[in-house]
Formats: sequence, structure tokens, C-alpha cells
Amino acid sequence: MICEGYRQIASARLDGEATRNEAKALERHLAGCEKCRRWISAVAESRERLLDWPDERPRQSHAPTIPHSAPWRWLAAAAVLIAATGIGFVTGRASAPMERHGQKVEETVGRPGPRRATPGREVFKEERMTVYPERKETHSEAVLYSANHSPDRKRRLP
Amino acid sequence: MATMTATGSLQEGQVDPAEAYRRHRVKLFNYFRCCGLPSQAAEDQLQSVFVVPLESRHRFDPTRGSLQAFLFGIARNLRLAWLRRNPEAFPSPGLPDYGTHRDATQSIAVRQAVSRLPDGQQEALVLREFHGFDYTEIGALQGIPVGTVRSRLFGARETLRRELRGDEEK
Repeated sequence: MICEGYRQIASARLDGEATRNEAKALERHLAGCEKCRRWISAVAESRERLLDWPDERPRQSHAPTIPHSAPWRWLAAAAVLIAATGIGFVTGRASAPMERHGQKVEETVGRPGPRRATPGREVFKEERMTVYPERKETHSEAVLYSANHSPDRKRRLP
Repeated sequence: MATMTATGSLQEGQVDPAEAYRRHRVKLFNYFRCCGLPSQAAEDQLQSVFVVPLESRHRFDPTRGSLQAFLFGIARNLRLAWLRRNPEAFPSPGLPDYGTHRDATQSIAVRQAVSRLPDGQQEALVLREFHGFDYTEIGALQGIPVGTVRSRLFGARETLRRELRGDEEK
């Protein structure tokens, strides 16, 4: 290994990052290399000067603050969205046509009632009007009907 | 997972930003200054280090490293972003007011020598010498293998030795 390799090990040893085998090899090399010994002392000297670097202090002594942290803003936004969706759902259900047994039921209609509950206030009597679905005739019923109502009554079927 | 909150109420595992700022602000400020940011920019970036975890979904996870390493990771990203926005400002940091420091000339020479180092070497040296990061932590911060950290530190020390002593000896 040339001197540069040993100097790299010496640099790592300054930081306590050289392995035991590397340290032993370095010691053996330093025993016979004056240049590397001088290199190490020069690096140690420049390191001392580096560590003599004075600390500067920031002017601001308080941590920055944020009026409303992001997680709370997101939670608040989510709550408003959920509430709005819920209100919209309930309102939509209330105004939608009612269903019973799979059939549509006419929505409640209002009309003026026969009497006033309190003066100045019109009372509406609620009335539920149910619309039943049309019953479709079966084919046999249709044949029977046409037979019964035909001018030729002799052909009446049972 | 610990979180950093802006509010005063802290739950278990949460990091108090005021306490974190008090403990780490001088180190982070000097990291910015040693790595080439002018004083005002260093002040601004220091504030941002503590705003980023509050505003974003960044979370400090103690199983992945120390709080110091977490904050320096944010600081590094902010510093690199600042240098990309201000390429003309690098590598000429403003010199601090040394005041009554016992050997201002020597300190300025050291600072200028450090400012002339390549960015990767400069940062590795600052993290190692001033902040006590080990090679593994520096490698994680810079996104490089430990062997490269070792080479960078050796290169930085060799350059400093030559610049400070005027010694070209091989």
C-alpha cells in the first residue's frame, strides 16, 4: 500500500472509524515512514485550528410557530366535508319520493285545512295519496274479456 | 412514531419544537454558516427547519435515527435548495463578526479554506468535526456509502492541511 492509503487510514483513525487490523498496519507503516508521521501531525494541527472556529448564534431565539397546524386544518376540513355530505344525504332522502314494498308512493301534498289552529297562521292538512300500480292483464284474462264483450255472445267462454 | 406539534399540548412520543429549537438552533445555524450560507439566509433556513415538520407530513421516527440527524436531514435539503436558487452566492459566505476572538486572522483563513472545499467534502467535514456525526450517519445524510465518506473526509483534511500550511509535500 502506498502512503496515501495509510494516510486515509490515519484520517479514519482520527475519527475512531479505522478497524483494528487497519490500525495495526498503520502503526507498522508509521514506524518506518517519516513523511506520513509529519503528515499526521500537520493534519492534527489544522484540525485544531478548525475546531477553534467560533460558534455563531442566530438572532432569533424563539422557535417559529404556526397558528394552526396542518393536521388540525385537515381534520377540520374533513369534518366539514363529512357534515355537509351527511346533511345533503338526509335532505335528499327527505325530499325524494317514498318507496314502499318496492313501489313508488306519491309524496305528501298539502292543501289548506278546514280550520285555522292559530290566528294568522294557515294550517295545512296533510294527505297521503297513494297511487297503486296498474295491474297488467294476463293473456287469458284478455281473451276472456274480449269474449264476454264481443257482440257474438254465443261464443262466451267459461 | 413521534411527531412534532405546533401546539402546547404534547402527548407521549411527541417532540416539543420549542425545546428542539432551543437545543439544536446554534448547531443548525453554524451548519448553514459553515456550509456557505450568508448570515440572513442561514437565519431564514434555520426557521424553515422547524416549520417543515409542522406544515408537512414529515414525522420524526426515533427508530430510524436521532432527532439531531432528522433535523440535519431537513437542513441539508433546505441548504441544497437554497444553493440551487442562489448559485452565485456559493462559495463566498459572509465572514462573521469575530469581535474579540483571540486569533481572528487564523479563524478567517480556516473558514476561507473550508469554503473552498468541494460541497460534499465540506459538508462531511462540518458534520464530522463540528457536530460529531459518525460515518454511517454522514453516509445516510448524504446518500453515499461509508467508504465514500471516508474518502471525502480524507480529501478535505488533505486540502486543509495544504492550504493552511502552504505545504505541497506528498
